[in-house]
Amino acid sequence: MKKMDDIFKQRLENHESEYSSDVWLNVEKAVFNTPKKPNYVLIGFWAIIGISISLGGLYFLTTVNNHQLNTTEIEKTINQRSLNETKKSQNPALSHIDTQNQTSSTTFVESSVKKETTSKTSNEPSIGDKNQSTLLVTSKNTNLLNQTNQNTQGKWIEESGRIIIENDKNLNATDLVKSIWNESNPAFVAEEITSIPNELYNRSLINPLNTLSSTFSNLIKQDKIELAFKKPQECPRFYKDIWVPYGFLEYGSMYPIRKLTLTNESYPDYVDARNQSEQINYSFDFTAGFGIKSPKGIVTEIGIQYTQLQEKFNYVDPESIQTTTVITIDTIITGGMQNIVKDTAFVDLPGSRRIVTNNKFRFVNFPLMIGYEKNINQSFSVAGKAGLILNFSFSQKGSFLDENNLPVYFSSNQLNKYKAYKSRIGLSYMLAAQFNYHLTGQITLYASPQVKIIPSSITEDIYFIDQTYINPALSLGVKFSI
Amino acid sequence: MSPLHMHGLTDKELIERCIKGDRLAHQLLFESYAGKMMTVCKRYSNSKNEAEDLLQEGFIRVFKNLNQFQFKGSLEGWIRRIMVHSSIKYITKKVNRIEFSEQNELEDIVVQENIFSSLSAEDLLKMIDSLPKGYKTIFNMYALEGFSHSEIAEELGIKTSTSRSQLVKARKYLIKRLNNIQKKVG
Repeated sequence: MKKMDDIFKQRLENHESEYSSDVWLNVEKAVFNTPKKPNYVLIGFWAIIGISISLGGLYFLTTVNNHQLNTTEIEKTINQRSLNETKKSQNPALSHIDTQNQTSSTTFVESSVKKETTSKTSNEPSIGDKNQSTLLVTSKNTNLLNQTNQNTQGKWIEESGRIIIENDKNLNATDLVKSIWNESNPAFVAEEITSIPNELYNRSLINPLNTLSSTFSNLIKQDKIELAFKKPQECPRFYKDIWVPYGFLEYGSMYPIRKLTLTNESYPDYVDARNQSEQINYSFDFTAGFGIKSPKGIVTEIGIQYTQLQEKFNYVDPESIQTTTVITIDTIITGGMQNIVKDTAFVDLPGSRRIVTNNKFRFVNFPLMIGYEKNINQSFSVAGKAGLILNFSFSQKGSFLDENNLPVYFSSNQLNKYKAYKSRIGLSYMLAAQFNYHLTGQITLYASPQVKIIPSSITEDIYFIDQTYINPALSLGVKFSI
Repeated sequence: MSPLHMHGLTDKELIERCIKGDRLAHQLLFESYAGKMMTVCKRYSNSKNEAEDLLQEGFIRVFKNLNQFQFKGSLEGWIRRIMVHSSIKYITKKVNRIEFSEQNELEDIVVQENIFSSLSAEDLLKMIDSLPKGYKTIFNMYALEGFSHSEIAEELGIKTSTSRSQLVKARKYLIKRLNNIQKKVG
């Protein structure tokens, strides 16, 4: 005889009842969705980004103000030049410099200048292109000088352009040159003058500070003069020994090298099974960021990076069997009698169940790089960089073999799936060389061989295998000075 | 075998990992004890859904209070106590009033052990589940969890005598059920 209570207790104490998988999902949600302690590393990182952007913005604003100041100075210089020339015309003692200046003020106002601008990006102007838009400006417009000078910072000055001068024959060379000067820009150089034979071509024609050539003096007697300009070769900002803040976009093709290390000796064959069933696929990353280059060539960059490592899981179930039923029908005719004989055979085909999955490991990172850039010439430079990559999030989905060599599905988005990977992987490292080609004064194209090292395992600490990567990559990118 | 492989990991190591926020350690701890704790919760609940609610609430409390575990007793015992307390709290909160009738019958009730041989643990659970609410709670607390009548009285806010009488009624009820089963079987 035994007390009933004890029997109940004994029978139920270690009994395990079934429960829904939703229970764990709800518990996990409740436990892990609670606010965490502040991540001071992350806060610090964002603070650095914020400060960098603020400093970059401040630098940019300061630069713009300086440009505006320079514009005003240019304006003053030009006004001063006009004033000096007027004084010369009024002062006989100075008139020997250029006798044609005497009629300058009157004729200058009466002259008209047509400027055509093109939207072509090519530096080579093409005279007579009918698609060009025409902008008629005249020196009667008192704001012309200011307008033109403002344009030195504006858009049209970046383009190829042309000036068509419709000469009223009262225009003397100096006034004409002044018109051109005001209308184009000292930065522009006349490349072609349609009315002048090539051998008479002279760049100094449009420089009002030089004595006008006889060729040009003769030229202005024609009714119409067409000048085509192109922007002279700019010195790339990245070449200059100045602070150059810039943005960059980069796409990298990666060829990951994976290393699996067993941390539990209970599964000696597991690494081989995983390596045989998984292959590395083409992987890539995309980075956008900001950087700044110091006058001494020190480069600092920060950005945001999306990386996707890809692997192919290819598994053939060795125990799977596909059974094919073969039915043979024979018609036998004996003594005029027709008999049909059916024969059924079963053919087993082993290993016919195949599972193929594209495994994807997605990372969102914040790279922080520092390096040194050395100019080779005005068009090329090389740089070496090293840095840290702080992982912000890591998600994954796909399939692999579990410890029993059976395929399982893993997903960071579905909590009830097999979970072996971390949600963040901390710090990675990166080494890069960079070959820069300065396409324009503002834009640089580059190719960058890189190595990205993920030293710590992307698996959970207590999982029985460590998974690390070394990712050689070739990135192509564009930098644009801000 | 657990897919998570915590071979050789002690309760202490497991708890330390949980406290550090290791999600997998939480899952392992949950999976290690959820089955047994589900049995506890089923005893106090009226349905499987309610039992799963109790299990969920209990484990949330376990994880939030892990740092208070002093390693003085077994981890399972500590989790079980939290489950029972959570269950009682949940039930008393959900059911406004548990009916307890006063009756002063004090006797040890014995039962033939062979009656149980044909019954599985799930059958026993069903029998407990069929008890009226008041009987069930006190039978669970006294007979299966080892609470004293004074502890039950304090926990449920009832008189000690009420706890005793409800226990007797619960036992009688169960014996009646067992006898019916015995008649059917044999």
